[in-house]
Amino acid sequence: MGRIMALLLLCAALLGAREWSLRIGGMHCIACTLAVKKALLGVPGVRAARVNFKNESALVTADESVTLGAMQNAVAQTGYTITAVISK
Amino acid sequence: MTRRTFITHTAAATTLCLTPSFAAEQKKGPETLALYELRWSFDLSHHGGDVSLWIPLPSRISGFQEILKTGWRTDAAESYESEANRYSARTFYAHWGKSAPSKTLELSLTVALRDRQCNWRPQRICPETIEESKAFLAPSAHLPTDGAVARISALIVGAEKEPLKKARRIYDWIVDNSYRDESVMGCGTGSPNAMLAELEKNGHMGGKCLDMSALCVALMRASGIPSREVMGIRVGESRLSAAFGAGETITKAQHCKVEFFTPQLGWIPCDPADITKLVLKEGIEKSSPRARALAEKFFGFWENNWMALNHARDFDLFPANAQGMLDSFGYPYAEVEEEYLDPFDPASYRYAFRSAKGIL
Repeated sequence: MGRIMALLLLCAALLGAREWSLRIGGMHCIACTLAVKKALLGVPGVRAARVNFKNESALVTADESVTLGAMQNAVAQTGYTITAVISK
Repeated sequence: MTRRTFITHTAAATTLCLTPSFAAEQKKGPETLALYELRWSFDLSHHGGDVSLWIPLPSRISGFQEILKTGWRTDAAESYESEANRYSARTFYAHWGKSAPSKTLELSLTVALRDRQCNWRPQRICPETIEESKAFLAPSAHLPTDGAVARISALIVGAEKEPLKKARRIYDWIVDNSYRDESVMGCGTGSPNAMLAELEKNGHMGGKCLDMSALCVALMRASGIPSREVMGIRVGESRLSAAFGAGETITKAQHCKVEFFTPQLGWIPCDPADITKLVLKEGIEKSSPRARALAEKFFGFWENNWMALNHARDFDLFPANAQGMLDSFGYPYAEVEEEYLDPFDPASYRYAFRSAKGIL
């Protein structure tokens, strides 16, 4: 996981992207990660998203132009919430 | 058929006929026995990265389900069978490293199945079995027994004290108030509270087998009846209705039933969800004689074209996965670079289950 995060950070730095680590609320089973991931990838400018049920978190790589609000709206439309930004 | 196969299959049929472990549930006749050869194929080569795969396997159920053969061929770096989880759910695990050029697995199973029909005659149930059944009264993450579940359970059961009659009231209530919703993915999410919230809002509840079975189990547990979902898969045609059967391709034939326990009869099967499927597929009314007759039959019965996998719910896999607790285990579960692989899309996942009826 650490290597993947490092790789994503490196990619983000090289390509002018930003990495968000988000806390996700409302997931009640592992299959929910699919819906959250799909919602995040549907936001224009989001390049990659990894969602983890156990940690209730998402790691998102996105263009600099992508806002937290856009991701919050997209996730909320599927019945879940972004409850906190862990880091960006 | 080779001589050895014939002997093995004949021995299995004999075992299923004679094993008396569920003495309250005997049913005989050639049509009640069936043999199936199953072949489950996975080709995960196109998934780049580290891949881990957990597959639910059928377990022996004394008198009703005998596993005659389990075999596999794989190029996985690691692969083994295990029952090291809270429910002793039989599991096949395989792991491929990131650089593996090919990631394939072929599982083959031979199972003998028998109809399970409760005859409703009290029998002696050993104290250990009664004690073990109490574990299936407890709530779990997806099976609450308080709040709306407790309130509705009390309304359904009323003043009834007899466990069998309480169970029947709950079963009938689910059949009466739910409908099959084909838009639901897989077997559903199995959330009793979601079902009850929909009932309160719309006056009826839509879902699939895991949704209705989970609600049935939660309501029964709340009324003091040990109960559990049984995940399984349809492996052949039904003698009763096309709605209950499957063809040779059974990749999407998963189905969940319910078992409940009484100290006089032991574990008893029932299946409210399949009645809602019958009504939808045959286009008949729930009040029709056919639907009513099958609803009556499915309280205490399961047919030999369905193979039970496990009754695991809200549990940790072995070896541990990255995503955490699994809510149910009827579909293969895989992670690619620790991310969940969608089992409801077998074409992208690239797995296929096939079944062929054997000769007994």
